Amino acid sequence: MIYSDYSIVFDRTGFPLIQLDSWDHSIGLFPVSKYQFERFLVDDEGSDYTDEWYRGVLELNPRRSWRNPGDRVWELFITGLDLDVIEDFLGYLGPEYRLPTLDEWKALLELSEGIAEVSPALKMICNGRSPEPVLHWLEAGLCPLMREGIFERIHGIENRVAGKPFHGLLPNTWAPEELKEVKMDMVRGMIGFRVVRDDGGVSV
Amino acid sequence: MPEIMNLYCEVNLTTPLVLVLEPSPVLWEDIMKVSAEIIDSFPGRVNRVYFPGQKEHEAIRTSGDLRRDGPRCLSRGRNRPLLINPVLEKLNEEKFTGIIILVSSRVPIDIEDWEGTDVPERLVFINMGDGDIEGPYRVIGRSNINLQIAPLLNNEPTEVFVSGDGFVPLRYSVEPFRSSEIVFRDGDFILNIEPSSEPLKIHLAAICKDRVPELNIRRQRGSLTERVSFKEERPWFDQKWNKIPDDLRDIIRSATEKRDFKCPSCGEKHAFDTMTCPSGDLILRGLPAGRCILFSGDEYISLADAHAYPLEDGKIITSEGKIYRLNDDGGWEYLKDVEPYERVDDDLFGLFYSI
Repeated sequence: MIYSDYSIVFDRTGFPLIQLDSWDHSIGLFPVSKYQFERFLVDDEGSDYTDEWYRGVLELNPRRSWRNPGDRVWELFITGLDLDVIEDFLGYLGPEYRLPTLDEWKALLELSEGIAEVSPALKMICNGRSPEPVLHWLEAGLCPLMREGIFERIHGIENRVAGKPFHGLLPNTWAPEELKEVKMDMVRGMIGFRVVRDDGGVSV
Repeated sequence: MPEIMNLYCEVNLTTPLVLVLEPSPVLWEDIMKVSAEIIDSFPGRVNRVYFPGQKEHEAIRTSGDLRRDGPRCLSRGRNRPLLINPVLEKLNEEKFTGIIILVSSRVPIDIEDWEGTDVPERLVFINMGDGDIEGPYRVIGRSNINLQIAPLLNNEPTEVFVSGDGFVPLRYSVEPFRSSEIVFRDGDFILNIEPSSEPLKIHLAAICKDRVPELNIRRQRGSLTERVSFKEERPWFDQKWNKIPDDLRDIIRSATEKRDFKCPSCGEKHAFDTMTCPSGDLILRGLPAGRCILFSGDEYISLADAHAYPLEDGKIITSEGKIYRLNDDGGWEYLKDVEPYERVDDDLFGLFYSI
């Protein structure tokens, strides 16, 4: 990677976030996955969410085994959540977690090609700290999925999203970093998010 | 001489079972009834009960425990998303090789995460609902459960063996008796024991490198190897030295000095390594043949009941008269077959001959 001064930190689910020395935050290497969100659902802090509710969420974007994403990678990630649910999830991760600002999201996008190139090194760093899906996806090069992933929510902005979904419906000229106005109800199942942590975590 | 470790292990090789119960308020009475039936029908085999979403198990081993603690467990999991990953990850971490019985009306949301692993073939799904359930696991209905389930709950051992870093058994016993053999493969000694689901006790006197050896169990279904550690115990056998019979003492003394000896049968001199007199008589009548014998002074031991005997410099000699040395990497290296009356240690001579 062109930037050698980076660190990897881990949230309480073991999912990795990247932090550059020049940043005062770290940002998720992946959008929040269903596997990761389910850690919250089985925790006491997620006890308000029922089986019926979660199965309803999954109707928008069916679940897929993390071992076998095939060509439907977007099904690995949690989409269709209301902002108050996202806030609950962020609260579960810790008070220092929030959605990324557009600048923070763009800064990660600039690094995305370099990050993809160093996937093997990232896998070594995550080995023993992260759950198996993280290692599996790094091995498969599914990181950070910003140019071809899902729509992502941005801090403080409603009705507009960043990113470019996998779905193949969008032209090549679509720029992921340009916020797009969308009808939330219509593309709900394509909208996910990644997390940002304000400084103060333990890094390796 | 390497340290001889005296080791013991006792295992029950019947297939262990765990129950995973859907905490459904509507179906709870039925789920309790079915679970109690399984627990009572397979006494001692259900050693844990899990609820989806919880990686810690409930200490429920009897149907009485279930009746007592069930309502509390139900209230913790009531209406929560049916996620089985925490349970299966915990069992996987513990290398659980038994059968997982899922009593549920719905397919857990995340069960497909385990497709392509050995979990589905060890999972029995008891469908408590009215709809059809399909998947790579075995599904049975809620009626006549005992008849349907019994054949599905066995995961017989297919391989049972002892192995370890630098491991070589000197002597062992297996109770109840099973056929067993020691094989040497790629620098390792392995003690293979005939697989069976009966309880098993093994006593071992063995040499090993840094860690005690383990009993490994592989079963019909699943790719995991269950490992059981041995515990140290007091020395449990005597290496018995015997007096060399009077009429053989001079012969053996001459032979160990590589000198001809006077044959007690024909009266002629024979070379030191002669085992049978030209007249047809055996020279060493009275000593066991077909297994290595070690001589020291006026005494001998036969390795008829032992697999090996430890020598100096990290070496052993086996009952077949083969000499091996333990290398730094924990593997054994075959050096040679013992020559007749070869000095294998200070004042210790080996002989392997068969009639």
